[in-house]
Amino acid sequence: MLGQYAKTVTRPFQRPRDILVRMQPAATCSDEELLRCFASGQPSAFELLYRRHELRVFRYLLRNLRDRALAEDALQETWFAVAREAHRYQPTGARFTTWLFTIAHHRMIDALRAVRSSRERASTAVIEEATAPLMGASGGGEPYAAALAGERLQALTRALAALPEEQRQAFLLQQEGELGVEDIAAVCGCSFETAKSRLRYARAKLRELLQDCV
Amino acid sequence: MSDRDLDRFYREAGAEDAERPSAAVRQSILREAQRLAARASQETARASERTPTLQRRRWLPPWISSWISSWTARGHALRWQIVAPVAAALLAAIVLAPEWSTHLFGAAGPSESTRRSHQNASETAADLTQSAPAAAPEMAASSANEAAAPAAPPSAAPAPFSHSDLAVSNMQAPAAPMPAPPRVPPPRTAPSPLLPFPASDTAAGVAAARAAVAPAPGSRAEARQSADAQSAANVAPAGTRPLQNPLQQAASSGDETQLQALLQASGVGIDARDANGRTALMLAVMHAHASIVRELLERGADPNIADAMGRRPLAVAQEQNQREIVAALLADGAR
Repeated sequence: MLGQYAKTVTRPFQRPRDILVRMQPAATCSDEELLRCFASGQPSAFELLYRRHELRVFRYLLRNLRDRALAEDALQETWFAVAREAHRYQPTGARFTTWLFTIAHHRMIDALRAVRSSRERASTAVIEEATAPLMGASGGGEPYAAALAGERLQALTRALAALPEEQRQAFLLQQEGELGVEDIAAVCGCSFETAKSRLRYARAKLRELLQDCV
Repeated sequence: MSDRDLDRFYREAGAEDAERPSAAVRQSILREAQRLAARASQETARASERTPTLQRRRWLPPWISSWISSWTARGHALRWQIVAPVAAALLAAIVLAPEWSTHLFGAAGPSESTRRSHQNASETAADLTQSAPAAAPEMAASSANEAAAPAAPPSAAPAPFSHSDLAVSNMQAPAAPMPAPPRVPPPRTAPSPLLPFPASDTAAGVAAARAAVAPAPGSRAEARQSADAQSAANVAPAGTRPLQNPLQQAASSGDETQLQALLQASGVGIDARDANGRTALMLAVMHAHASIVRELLERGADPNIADAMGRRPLAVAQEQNQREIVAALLADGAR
């Protein structure tokens, strides 16, 4: 790990943490090393880390929430939490990607709950207005659907919207987070078998829905 | 459509997606990260500033100095992790020091004064042990003589009883004071549910218990006298003997002459209690001295004074089936 850095100071009896402080993070560093560099006070390490995972986390949030504003809020809170809790991260526990998507998943669940509670409080007319962006993928006239460029992307978005919530989360964690079944179970807080079955059902339904598009 | 086709379709469709988070969101995230990183670097700099001052321990070997520096450079919390156990150990040592010193010096030997006092105590104990076998028959003989002796003249009666001289006059004849009885272990009696009071506390209790448990050899009065003589021979230690005044002793022993002499003397408390809360009347009832009971009742003794266990003379007399005493007590208003 230390070979990837340019050592500037070599003192005897020096802790690795002190050495890391005096090194510049490189693009070839792993996520865990970058996070440790950031925790020791280097903002450039965080920027590298953010640029690596920004789009994947944003897509995961956007395709689950189906609302751009909500997804951006959740993205912001996710990375704030990463920055705040960087010094507590232990690389021996879980991969950085699993840790990151766990935070994103929790923020997404919080956003969904907030939307549902506000939907319950609002009147029927307001509900229809408020949920219109969330249902954007179902028709071609909604703002989000209009923003979609390709036909295949529209089909994919419609197919994802047709999935149950848990199956969609499992599938998106596998695709965007590149997580295995065990990591998906850890992120969703369910058992290995449950995550596996959710993934299987999701893939089966997507194959069925997207059969004509291939 | 296979799983591989689905994954490829997702990748290709995702590549067409132009959705990105806005620049404002990105800037706010990176700004927050810079703020947190600056704070972290300040803390690291503070820690590294403390390190050189801690590394000036020239009097220590370098490896010890560097080890201490590496531990203490982590901040105040870690420094307290070292200081707190040391302080706790010191506090524990201060608290436990008396215990340890007692154990250590106690094992090494007592001081000179303590050793002298222990020696004197052992000598006294040896003297008492030697004199005990000789003193016990003397006590038995003197007690028997007192029971059979003629009545002493009224002039020889003791001074009015007071609680201050109880310890001196305890179990001693008023006219001829006896030497202090040696300390011997109290007589051990088997516990019996028939005993009206604890048998191990008084010599009178032992006598009454034996009379209550064992069959009477001959008449009841003889049994009581023999029990008294036997109890007087088994003298209880001073610490466990009940304190009785001469009137109570006379009531216990059934010495009517001495009782009358004592009652005629002024200032004798007829309802005074012994260490067990028993009056002279109660003692007379317990020892079945009907004439003493009548005499005490005529002299105005209260028949309703209970002892420390809450028993009244009438209850004791009924328990022992003393019909004559029961009748006398009832006639005097006992309850």
